[in-house]
Amino acid sequence: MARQSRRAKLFVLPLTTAISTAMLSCSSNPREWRTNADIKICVDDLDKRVPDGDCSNPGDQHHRWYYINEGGYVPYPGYPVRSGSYQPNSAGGSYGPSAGGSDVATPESTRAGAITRGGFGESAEGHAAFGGVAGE
Amino acid sequence: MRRVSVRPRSGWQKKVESHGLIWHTVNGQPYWNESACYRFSARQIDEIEAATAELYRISMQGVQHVIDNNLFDQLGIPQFIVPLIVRAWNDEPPALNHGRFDLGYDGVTPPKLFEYNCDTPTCLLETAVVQWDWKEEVFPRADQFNSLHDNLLAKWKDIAPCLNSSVVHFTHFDDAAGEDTLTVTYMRDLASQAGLSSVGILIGDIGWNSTTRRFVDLANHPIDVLFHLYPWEWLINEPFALNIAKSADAMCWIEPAWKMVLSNKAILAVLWELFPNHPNLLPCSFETPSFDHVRKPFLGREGANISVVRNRQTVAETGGGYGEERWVYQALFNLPDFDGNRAVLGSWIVDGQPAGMGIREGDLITGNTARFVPHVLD
Repeated sequence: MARQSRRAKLFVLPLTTAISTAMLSCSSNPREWRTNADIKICVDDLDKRVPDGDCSNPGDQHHRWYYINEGGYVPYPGYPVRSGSYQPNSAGGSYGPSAGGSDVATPESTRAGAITRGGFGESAEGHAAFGGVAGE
Repeated sequence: MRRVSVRPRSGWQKKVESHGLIWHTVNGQPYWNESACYRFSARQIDEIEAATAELYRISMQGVQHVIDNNLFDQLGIPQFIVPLIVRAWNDEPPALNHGRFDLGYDGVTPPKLFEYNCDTPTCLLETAVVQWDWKEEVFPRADQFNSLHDNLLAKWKDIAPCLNSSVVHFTHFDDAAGEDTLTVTYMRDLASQAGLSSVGILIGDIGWNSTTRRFVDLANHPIDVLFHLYPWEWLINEPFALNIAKSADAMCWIEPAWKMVLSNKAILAVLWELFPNHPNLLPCSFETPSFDHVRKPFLGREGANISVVRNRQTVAETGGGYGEERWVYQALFNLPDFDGNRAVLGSWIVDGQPAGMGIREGDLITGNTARFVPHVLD
């Protein structure tokens, strides 16, 4: 029998909670923009953006740098990151702090050296409706 | 199987939102509907559970039959992706191997399969977490057919050591409602609990490095393991499709490519041919039958492009952008009518183990606005 007979469940869903809260609180305002340069931002344990100064304490285990390449999404402070990486692409030297808020148009296809983007996702555009798009 | 009225919890919207279900209301009407619930006997749950295990068993045989007899053309699957499907089937790469059987059930006769959603199944968060939380508050002494969260977590822990990286990328389309986003985020939480690191990336942001012949994330790091809430049939029809095979040796797709055989509704006709008169199947064919039936596109989703035909007359149909491929014709199952509400069971399975159930109510056709209604056992 696979059902769980009255056994308590422990749901540990920090990312789900953080992202749903962020999505609910920013329904009319953009919560992120796309950067036109390689940048680094500071994030906390829940992957939410915090002031860069929080990452300047070497002994702090609860904050770390998060690296976003050109074209990536940059969240406003308090909102979770969803693209990028905790490791810089190349030695970290070219990543500057975020300057904040200028919007950058979403490229349909971008090319940076040998890397091309935009080759997946077009099918979903024609099926956007209520609820999810790609589920079944 | 009974439908009973229940007083919704005070502030239920905030409560379900606290678990990530932010798409609980559409056009002013609840998608999450806790003003009612379904009650089942233990015998009925046993029957649903047994049917789920049996349908999984014959579904696996169905995939083997398609491969052995090279029926890919019949399913409309392009030949260039067939080697990848066959390889994924034979090699059995790490996978959750989860899915949701949509069943017709009247509480008396054996459950009947409508379709198997095993490529990008949704209703996940509401089934695994939200309805359990509702039960704990409203019917704390009752039981529920629901071990989905536990089974998925166990499966992530099971496959974690077998993956070629401890970093898993999770991709989806940036849907406005947040359903895809939060379903994938829930999976990220499960993977994190299993000791894996997760990186989110929108499907359109995935890059292709033509030098290394690898898919990469926004930091240009190679993607070793990719969980995708994005259908295989879309992936293989987009500009990056040919790159999937080029990078196959270095990359693990969750779920694997063989899932596209089962998420294709042509499998319903294949299964009926293989297992005629099976108690959990409805008659299904590739040709228009003489009996009352439902016409479904091979690759339809969310109840789109469905037609219900009674006495040779179309009595209900939905629009959408599917159906260019082909259709199957499945015998009409008369869903039980609970004061105008027709319930479809979504019975989950994780790697062969029945894992719980969610229920959605709609009209003749269960579309993507059908209401999710929780359940308990008597």
